[in-house]
Amino acid sequence: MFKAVNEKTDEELVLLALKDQDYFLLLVRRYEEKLTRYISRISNLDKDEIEDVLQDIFIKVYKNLNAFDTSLKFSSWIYRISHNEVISNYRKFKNKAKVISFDTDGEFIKNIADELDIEKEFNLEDLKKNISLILNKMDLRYREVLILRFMEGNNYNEISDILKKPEGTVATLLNRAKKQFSQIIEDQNIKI
Amino acid sequence: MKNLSQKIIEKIKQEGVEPTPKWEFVLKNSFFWGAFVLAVIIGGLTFSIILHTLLNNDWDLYMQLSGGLTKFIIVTLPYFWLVFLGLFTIIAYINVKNTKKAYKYNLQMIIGGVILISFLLGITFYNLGVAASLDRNLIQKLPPRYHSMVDANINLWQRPEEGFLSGSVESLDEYVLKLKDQNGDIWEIILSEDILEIVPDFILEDSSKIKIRGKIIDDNCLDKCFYADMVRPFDNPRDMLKKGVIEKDILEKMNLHMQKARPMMQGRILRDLVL
Repeated sequence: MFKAVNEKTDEELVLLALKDQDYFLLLVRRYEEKLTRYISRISNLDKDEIEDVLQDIFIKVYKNLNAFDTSLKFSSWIYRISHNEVISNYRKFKNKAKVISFDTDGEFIKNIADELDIEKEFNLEDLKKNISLILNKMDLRYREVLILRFMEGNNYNEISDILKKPEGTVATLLNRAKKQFSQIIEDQNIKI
Repeated sequence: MKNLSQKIIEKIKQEGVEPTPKWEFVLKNSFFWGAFVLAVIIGGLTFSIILHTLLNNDWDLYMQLSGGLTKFIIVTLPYFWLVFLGLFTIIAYINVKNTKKAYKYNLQMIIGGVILISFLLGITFYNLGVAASLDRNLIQKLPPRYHSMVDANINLWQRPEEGFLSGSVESLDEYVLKLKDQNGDIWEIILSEDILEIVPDFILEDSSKIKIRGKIIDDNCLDKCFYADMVRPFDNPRDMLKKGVIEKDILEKMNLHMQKARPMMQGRILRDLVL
């Protein structure tokens, strides 16, 4: 029985959670790690602060379950709420000096290197070493769109749903993000 | 972190958090769509008035009224209605932007769409005669001090010394048409025997707004007198301006009026004017 519930899609769980609060627990479990990682990547909040923000996010999600549009993916919708919550807390963390540490996997490095066409010219291991430095120097909006695309693995349509921007604007943001990424490599004289 | 999910569920239960009812979201979304539709309809009505104003402008008299086409266009553009259209385009944009899927479209697409719908509605309203009736009612019901704000022609046609006069028909007896101008002055209007164009509907009705081209007559006049060689309804329906489109029964009434007025007018005209 429990296994069967676990196999249900997010969208099915939303419908069940509307009838019985306990089903919401499954959704929280599915997303708490993913969202913790996402928030830590786009903000410099510490562990406790992230936990507070996450609580607010999940309570907001629960309150607004009836507003969930089934034509969207639930993951896009919950990431959107998380994005909005982080942005509304932006003042809290924008002046904090803490540097975000990006526990990047090889996949991200490979993806971004492919996109920037730097794989042949540079050593990917060196890029991996410097990735935190580069991403920390990026504007939040550019950093976030790179994270959504290459770390969270969202496509343009999903990013459009998360950021509530037209797909064309998402493409422009990604292009600018890539340019800024390359510019920082150049400006910082990072040898990769 | 392990207990976060449990903490959240407990908090939800302790605080009695409940999902907001679906009808509240439906109502909110419907409100934005309703406000959008209303704003677009008002935008359409506004565009129909702009169309009506432009098409019924006194293009044939631009040289006499303003001394040149550019100046005439600058002076007579319906700025008030253009600002009004802009305002309702923005209101429509704000409302549609708050609907669920609007973020999929960029600013230019939404604004372009809103303007296109307003234009199409405006053309429809204009063809249905809504604009003419709206414009006529506005001019007749608005207090005079607001007239020049909604219609730039008011000032152009309130220059009797230069041969342009406008106002509302105060009275019309067998012999004399009396006109109350924009400043509240009463004029006695004498129609030329060779009047160039007469548009029928208005002149036999009290309170109708008209505009007159002619000249001031100073002599032998108890009130202010104005000799008219052209009379038009103020809101100037384009179709009526075509010469020879005067309805038969109105024309007959007009001729009857002219015949009765002629003995008195002829005396004045012969005395005062060399045409």
